[in-house]
Order: sequence, then structure tokens, then C-alpha cells
Amino acid sequence: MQRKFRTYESAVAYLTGEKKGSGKILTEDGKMDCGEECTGEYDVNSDVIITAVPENGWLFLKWSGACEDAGIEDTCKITMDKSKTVMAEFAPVCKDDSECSSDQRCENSRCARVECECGYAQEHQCQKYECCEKSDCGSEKTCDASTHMCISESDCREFSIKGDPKEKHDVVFVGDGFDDYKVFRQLLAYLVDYDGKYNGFFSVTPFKENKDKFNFWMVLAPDYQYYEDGEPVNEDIERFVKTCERDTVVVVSRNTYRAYAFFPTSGNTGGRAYVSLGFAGIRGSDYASEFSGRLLLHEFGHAFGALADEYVEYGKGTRKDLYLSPNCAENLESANEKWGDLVGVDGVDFYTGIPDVEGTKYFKNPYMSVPEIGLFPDGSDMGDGGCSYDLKNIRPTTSSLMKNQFEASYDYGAVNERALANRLADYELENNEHDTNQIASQGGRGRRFVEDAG
Amino acid sequence: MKWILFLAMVIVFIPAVFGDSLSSLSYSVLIDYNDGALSLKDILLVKASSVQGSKEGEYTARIISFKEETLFETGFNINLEPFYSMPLSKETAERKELTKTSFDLLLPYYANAKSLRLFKGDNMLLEIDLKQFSSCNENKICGGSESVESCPSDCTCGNNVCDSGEDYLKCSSDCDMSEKAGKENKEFSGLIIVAGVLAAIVIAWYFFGVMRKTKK
Repeated sequence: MQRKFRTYESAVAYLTGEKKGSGKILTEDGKMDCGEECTGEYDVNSDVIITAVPENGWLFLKWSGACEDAGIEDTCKITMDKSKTVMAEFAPVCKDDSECSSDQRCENSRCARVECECGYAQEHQCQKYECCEKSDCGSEKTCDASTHMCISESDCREFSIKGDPKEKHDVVFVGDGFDDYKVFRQLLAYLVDYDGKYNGFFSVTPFKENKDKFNFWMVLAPDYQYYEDGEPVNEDIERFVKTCERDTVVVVSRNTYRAYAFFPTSGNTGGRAYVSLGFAGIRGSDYASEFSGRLLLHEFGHAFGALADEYVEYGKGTRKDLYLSPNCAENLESANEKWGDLVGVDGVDFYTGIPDVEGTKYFKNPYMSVPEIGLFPDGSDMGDGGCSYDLKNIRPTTSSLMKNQFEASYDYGAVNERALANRLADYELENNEHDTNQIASQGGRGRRFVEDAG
Repeated sequence: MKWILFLAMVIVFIPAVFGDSLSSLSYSVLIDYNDGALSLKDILLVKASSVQGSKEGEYTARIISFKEETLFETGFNINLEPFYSMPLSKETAERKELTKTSFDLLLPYYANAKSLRLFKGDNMLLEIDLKQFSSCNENKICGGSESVESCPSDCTCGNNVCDSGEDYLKCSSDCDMSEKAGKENKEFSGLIIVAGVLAAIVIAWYFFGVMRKTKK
């Protein structure tokens, strides 16, 4: 026997009123007087006429919910095919702006929000931001979208960017005497030397193992300032790099002067190097191309790694900041702390230029390291034991890149490599999303360069 | 079709994501050093990543908020003696120690930064006004170019909650007039109840006293 079931359908539907602001929602049949009774019961499919009535001092603004289609009309008709909710929004009547919030103004007796295309609402008006687009900021500035402030545009161009500058060590090359980005870029390709073919930056440990930790930028400085004695003005560096991403700045000069560098100022950052291409070629023009990269490595050792010179100069005396250097020590105790654990590794020991000092080894250069200038008055040579200009100081090797940048056979040595690697440990190796390496990676013939407009 | 969509998404989204993360806002501060004294040479806002902050250094740079709180601090050194390469001649083999120089600091930008102070030990050598770059003066009033994003401490308005201290006139987007009235009515009703209870106690105490006197 087949049983018959009757489907159950609710015979009633409920109308619920909600409101924002001061006013009432009334139904024509009086079943709902929202203000007091906000729910009404209706037969399914019955029609209901609903009216929004504002309180004194208020205006009806609009419907939403089941009456949304009625919009700003104060009366709405709906069919109760199911339970429904209607919402009426009321706004206070205003006579003038003072009766509205600071971010509103009185329009047609209603407080309406002040809409600002580029600015903020205050005192019932739009106040313009300092800037909304680049044209608001003049020629050398751009508009920062988050703060709406004019900020200085970077003068630097990308040479090789490996990732987020926050995660990388950013090196800026300042082209002293260069006025053509194409020429400068070609020179930098040799100096940076991604393929390690030209005794350049990436030809030695630990940099060649950490290529992805460096971003390289460049900026031209055709009118870099010089003193009368032929030395560059240190401070002029800021004129060119003050708007750039930068951790270490390297001035690459066409002029000839004695190359030099300053230690980092804060952590790994703030180091400055002044690399004279003319100085690299002081032993003849052939040296300029062959040893410019090694001169860069030597100066970068100072500017990035706080490495001291591992040679002496007569009468200079020990520097006050020697404690910062991982490769030079005033006494045996300090030397032991700095590299005692590496003694015996690749010739590492404690070398001084003073004979018979207990615990150290006396090193006398068998030949003059710089034949052009001869020996110092005490008979010593720059290549003798000692470091940071003083014979009595202790250094870890007889020679390294921090002693002699003109001999291609030397690398940094175990102590310096470790010190540099420690500094590099602060940077990310991964993340090649923004890899412009192809700009500079090809060495020698067939090298492809991105054409520069400048 | 799927490939086209994928490529379109890559083109649209990757530059946006990477562009944002590539650089952040920093103060580029150029300082002159002259025989121990510091002076401001130039300061500008740039898109660049700032120093990470170091504990080491003879000097300290400290960014201070309007509430006099330290927002950022780093140690730094001023280098007065360069390391020179091998000399070109005997004449150039001499030591040079500078008495004047300049240096720069890349420091992180804070919307609520009031000043940058440079110290040697406890001795403040220079204070640099950063208010010109600030978009949040922490005065508990959401004004000027302050917004919930740039200045949450002043601009709680906008969180869709009618917070304490807000009313319709201060923050129409969070508070409507009826809410304010409702709040006031509730507060008023509460006061009436408390006052009523107190009045009832006083009256009861009075009548209790009168009745005791009458009995005597």
C-alpha cells in the first residue's frame, strides 16, 4: 500500500524591521510599528506596504534589505513569499556644516561625507595631500603613495640586482669622471667580473661563492670634486648617492691618486672606498686593466670587512681603531683571540716586523714590495711583517690581498676570508626573483650589455 | 586560454608584489663633522632600505616619537682616518687624520617620529627635527593627514566601533547620533537608578528615625 504524504509549507512569514538613525518603520496594516514592535506576522504571499518615518530633526536616507529596490522612496511594497528583513537608514537634518561631523558637509539638509579625490576631509572641506602624483613634486622628486609626501627619486641605476635591498648588500659604484653609462657599465663588468676571468670582485673567495648576496648600483659623477693636491673630496660622495640604496659606496675614478677606504660606520654598512684606476696602473698601463679588480678587492676589504692593511709605513704609528680589525693585532693575546684557532691553516701564523718577539714570527721581505719607492729609513719594507702601518703589530700571513693587491697569486687568506664570510652571513643567498645578472655576467667577447640612454 | 590567464596574472601581480618589497622609506641624513661638533647638512626622504641597527659604535642615533618613546636606535662610528693603499712615492707615505668630514645615515622612516638625536655616550650632540616628515603627531586627535593606517594611535575612527571618546561629530563613520543618544540615555538611566536608590536609603533612614522617636 502506498502511503500518501502531504508536504508541509509554512502558512506564515515574518517581516523584521531594522533601522539606523532615528525614525520608525511602519506598515500600512499596523502590524509592525518599528520603534516598538519590529516584527510582524503575515500570511504567505500577502502584500505589505511599508513606510519609513523619520523623527523630528532627521531625514529618511534610504532602504536596504528586502526594500532595497525602493531606494530613497520612503514607501516600499513587498510580497511576503517568505520571511524578510527591511532596513531603513535615517540621517540628521542639518542647517549648516557645523551640525555635521568634521569629515562631512551639509548638503540638501543632510550631512554628507566629504569625498576627496586626493586628500583628506577636515573642517567640512577637502584638504589636499602634499602630493598625489609625481607632477606635484617637481622634477627631482616623486610622490610616495603611502604617505602622500614628496620623496627624492633615486639617482642610481641598476647594474646587477639580485633581490630585495633589505636582504642584500647594496654596493653603489660612483663613476668619477664618467659621463656615459654605457662606458661605465662596461668597465664595471670587468671590475665586478661575474665569471671570475679578470681578477675582479667575484674572482676570489668568499665573494665568488656569494654572488647572490650583492646588489650593484651605479651613478655617474662627471664633475666629482678634487682638492688642489689631487685627492678627491671625501664628502662629495654624498652628492651622488644620497638618494640611492647603499650599504657600501665605491668611487671609481679615472684620476690618479692613492687609493683609500673607510671602515663601515654602522654594522656592515657605511663603508666607503675610493678606487683610482690611475693608481692601479701606476706600474704601467697594463696593470690598470689587470689589477683594477684587485685594487677594488683590497679597498672593499677595508670598506666592507673592516680589514686592516697588512703592510707597514714608516713613522705612521698604530691606528686607534685597530680593535675593529679582525686581521691585525697589537699584541699576541689579541692576535690569539682573533685568529689563534686558524694557526697552521694555509700559512696562518703570527707575523711581525720585529725580530725575537716571543710567540711571533719575524718576517723580512726578501725583496722590495714596491721597488719604485725603495726601503724605509730603518731598512724595512712595506712587505715586512706587521700591519696597520706598524712593524710591531701582528698579522696572520706573510702576504694576502690586504698586503699586496699587485700580485694575482694572493687571495685574502684564511683569516680574512672568515671575517668577510661572517659579514656575508647577515645576507640572504636565495631570492633571485629580480635577477638582472644577465646584464653583467658575460665576460669577454660576446658580452651583452643593456643599452643605456644616458 | 589558461596560459594567457596565468601570464596575465604573473604580469599583473609579480611587479606589484616585488615592487612593494623592493624598497622601503628611509631618512637619508647627511651630517657634517667638524672637530667633534655635528651639524645637519641635509635630510631627505628616499625609497631605500635603512641600516639594520647595530649595538656597536662610539656614537648612537636615536629616533624619538611624539610620545618621547624610542622608535629606533643604532650605534655608528665616524671615520676620521682612511686606510691608504701603498704610497705612490716616499713623499706620499704620510699619515692623514681628518678633523672635518661628513657622513650619512640611512634610517627607517616612522610616521610618528618627532626627532632624531645623535649621542656620543650620554652626551647629545645634535637633535634633528623630523616633524616635517611626520604624518602622525600622537595628540589623540585625528587631524591633518592622519589616517587609521598612518596614525592608529590618533585615528581609531574608521574601525566601525564607536570607541570611547568618539561621538557622531568626531567620527560619523563609527558612531551615529542615535548610538550616542542611546549611550547617553543609558548612562543617564544608570545615574537615575543610583540616585533613586540613594534617595530611598535616605528617606528610609529618616522615617526609621522619626518612628523610633514617636515610639519613645
